[in-house]
Amino acid sequence: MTDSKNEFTDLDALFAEAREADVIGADALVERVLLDAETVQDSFSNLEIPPVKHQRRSLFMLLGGWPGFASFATATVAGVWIGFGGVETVQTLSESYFSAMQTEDAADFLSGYDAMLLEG
Amino acid sequence: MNVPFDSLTQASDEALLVLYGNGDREAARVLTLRLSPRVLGFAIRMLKDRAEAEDVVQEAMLKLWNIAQEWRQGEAKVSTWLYRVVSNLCTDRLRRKRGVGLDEIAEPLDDAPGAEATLQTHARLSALDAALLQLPERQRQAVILRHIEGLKNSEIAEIMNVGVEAIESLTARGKRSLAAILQGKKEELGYTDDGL
Repeated sequence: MTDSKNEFTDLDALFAEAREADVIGADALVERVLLDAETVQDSFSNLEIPPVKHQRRSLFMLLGGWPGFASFATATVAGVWIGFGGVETVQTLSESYFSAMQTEDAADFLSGYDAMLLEG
Repeated sequence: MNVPFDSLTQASDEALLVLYGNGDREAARVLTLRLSPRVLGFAIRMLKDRAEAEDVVQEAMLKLWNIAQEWRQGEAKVSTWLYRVVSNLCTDRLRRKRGVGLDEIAEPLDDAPGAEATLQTHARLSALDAALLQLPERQRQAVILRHIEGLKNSEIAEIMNVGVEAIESLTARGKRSLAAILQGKKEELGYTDDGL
């Protein structure tokens, strides 16, 4: 954009002069800024040994976060249930499976869990 | 491991910031030497107080160091981000100062040697700074960033959080006002009708 409409036509020259004028005596500021930089950088290295809270968080994330944790909990509950269900359930499962192979009857693989199929 | 200083001087601001975040001490030095004087000049013109401008720059650089490890590459230019922080800090301080008369604002320090030609240049730049100080804050900010710091309108728009058209309007009005203010001082500042 030109300054043809400006009364003071040397404005761009004045801006150029201002642009070329270096800021003198910034050494003390540079030293202060560098001291801050080092202090902050030192705090970065302190983070290399994560606190216990971060370690727990890392383990949680390693398990897959909340979805992973949900699957883990479901598997645990299922395991406990099967454990308490006892041998009868497992026997029923295996007997049904093998008898089905021989007789070609419709197999009820989990007859021990029929109660779970009842609605209402 | 630190990268050699010479290699660092060629690196982009963003690369230096990432290196700093990864523990490179020299990257901080190169970035400080590159950016601090630039934003200091801007802060001095905004605040007309060297000591306060230095405090602002130190505070802004501290914010930069603190976000170094979280810096999202490719999202913003480091210099634009820094100008924005400096700009906001200057605005905060100017708001706090509001009510203080212009005469009470400290004059900038005279660091230049006393040769006659330098004095003339100094007089011109002082007149420019004084004229800038008479502009409304947003106009002053836009004019300094555009015409003295040499930033693009799009960068200034990002810094000032407005559209490019608003910046064009602010700089145009600012220049017109500056020209009107300086018109009466033309001869005093060593300008003739033929220019300098």
